[in-house]
Amino acid sequence: MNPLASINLSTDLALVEARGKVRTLAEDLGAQAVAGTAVATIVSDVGRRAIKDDLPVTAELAIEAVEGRTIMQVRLSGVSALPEVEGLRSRFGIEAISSTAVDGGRPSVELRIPTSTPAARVDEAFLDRERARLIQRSPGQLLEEVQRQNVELSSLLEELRDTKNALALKARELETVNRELESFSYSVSHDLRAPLRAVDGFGLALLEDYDAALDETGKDYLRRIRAATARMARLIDDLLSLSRLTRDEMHVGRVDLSRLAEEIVAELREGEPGRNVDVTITPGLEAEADAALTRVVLVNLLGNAFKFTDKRDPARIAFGAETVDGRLWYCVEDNGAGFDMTYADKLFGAFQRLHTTDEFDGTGIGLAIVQRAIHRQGGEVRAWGEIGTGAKISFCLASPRIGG
Amino acid sequence: MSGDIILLVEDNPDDVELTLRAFRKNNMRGEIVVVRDGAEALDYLFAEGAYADRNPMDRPALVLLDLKLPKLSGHEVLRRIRSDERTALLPVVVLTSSREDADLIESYSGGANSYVRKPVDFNEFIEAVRQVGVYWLALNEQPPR
Repeated sequence: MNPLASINLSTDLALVEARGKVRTLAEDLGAQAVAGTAVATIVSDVGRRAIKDDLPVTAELAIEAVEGRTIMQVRLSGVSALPEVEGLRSRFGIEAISSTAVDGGRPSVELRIPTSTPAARVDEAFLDRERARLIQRSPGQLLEEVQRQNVELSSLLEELRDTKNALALKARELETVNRELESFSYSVSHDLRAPLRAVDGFGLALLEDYDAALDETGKDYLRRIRAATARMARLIDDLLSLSRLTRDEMHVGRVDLSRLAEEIVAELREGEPGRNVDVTITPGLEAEADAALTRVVLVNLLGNAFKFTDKRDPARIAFGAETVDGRLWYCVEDNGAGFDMTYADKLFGAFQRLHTTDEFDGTGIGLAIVQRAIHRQGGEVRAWGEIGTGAKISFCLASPRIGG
Repeated sequence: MSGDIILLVEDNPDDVELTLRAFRKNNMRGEIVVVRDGAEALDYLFAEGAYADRNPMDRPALVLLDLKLPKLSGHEVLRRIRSDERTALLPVVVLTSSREDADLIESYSGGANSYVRKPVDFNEFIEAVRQVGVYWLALNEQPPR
């Protein structure tokens, strides 16, 4: 036997080395992976006992050609019997040959592991390459590898610590921003309203108390001032609802969208009793969602559908769902004024309007609110429209990655 | 009801003028006392400071309290009113621009009797003041003094 490697199983590091070399050789020769692992485990068990009992044990790795096949040999010298080898033969075809001490030498056990490498492939070049491979598994190389990995690990740790600190900083910044946003909203709610009330109140006082002193043009100007004030008050309210949408906590649960849509449509019908509106709602549509945010979405979408069909008789509005790209999209469709797809990207911007206030009343916040309420729940919203034909707004709630 | 005093705690002179106008428009009787900040409100109620020679037993029938005030905030004024036995039962109506949930919650848990948000539209404001006046000065039975 001309060994490819020889290891004294006298230290923990030697055990790691022996284990690694056994596995490397078994793998290179194409032995069954489990057989390689089993032998490697036997070697390190034997070595552990040797270290504990302070007995000299050596592991030698070699190759032998038998009937055109290559056999991998692991000889453990200083060991007379191996309780572990029971069953190895039947499971992996590994043979164990025990030799008693000869000429004052030591007893040994040789494990013979069949491999898939044809004997013809094993020449001097093959053996040299294999020796070189096994040397990489020697203690010096192992230590270097461990040290290199240690350096990598500590730099990774440092990076992690930096990331953690950066995250903590960001979290604090976010908290501050949130607090500022809250006080900003408060200030908008309180401080922007007071002057508006003064403008409106004193405008009305002028109209009432100085009626005789004002001509029709003067009165018209005052009425315009008051109308603009009312509009600004609505804009402030809308802006506040938009910011509240982001600030309020979410509570996700089962929401019955069909029933919600029925309720909202009933309210809308009550608001415009004279109209002929044909509403179709697909029953049984449910979703895992925040009830308040979802209500906001449907109130705005169905409200828009009602608003933009006010010149239709009958107006047709449908709430349903369809599967596109494996995701369930809920949609509100109408036969109303529609919109030009050229401006579709402007549709969801805050205070963006595609119609004049003379045509259709509103501040242009509705779809911005819809989008924010849907995005906050991890969903998406899309719009389709054609002037004079109608519009269709589709939304899905959670993206498939979440909970998917 | 002619002897009723309404204490208006309001720092914004425009809002003071508009509230007084709303009272006039509604032909509400009684005396309206205006104080400009939270500290002055407490001085008036407890007959201290500039109001030291006032009879503290002469309590207003109603306090209209703005929340955002210089010195002491409306919430603080409300707490002080409720924690003093002389004014613990005094009807206090919060009259504010804010519709923040936090203000509503703090006002009610602080013992406000009503919370009215001042509308921007002056006609609506007049109506709000009228309803507050009718309810608190005519319909509602005052707590025993």
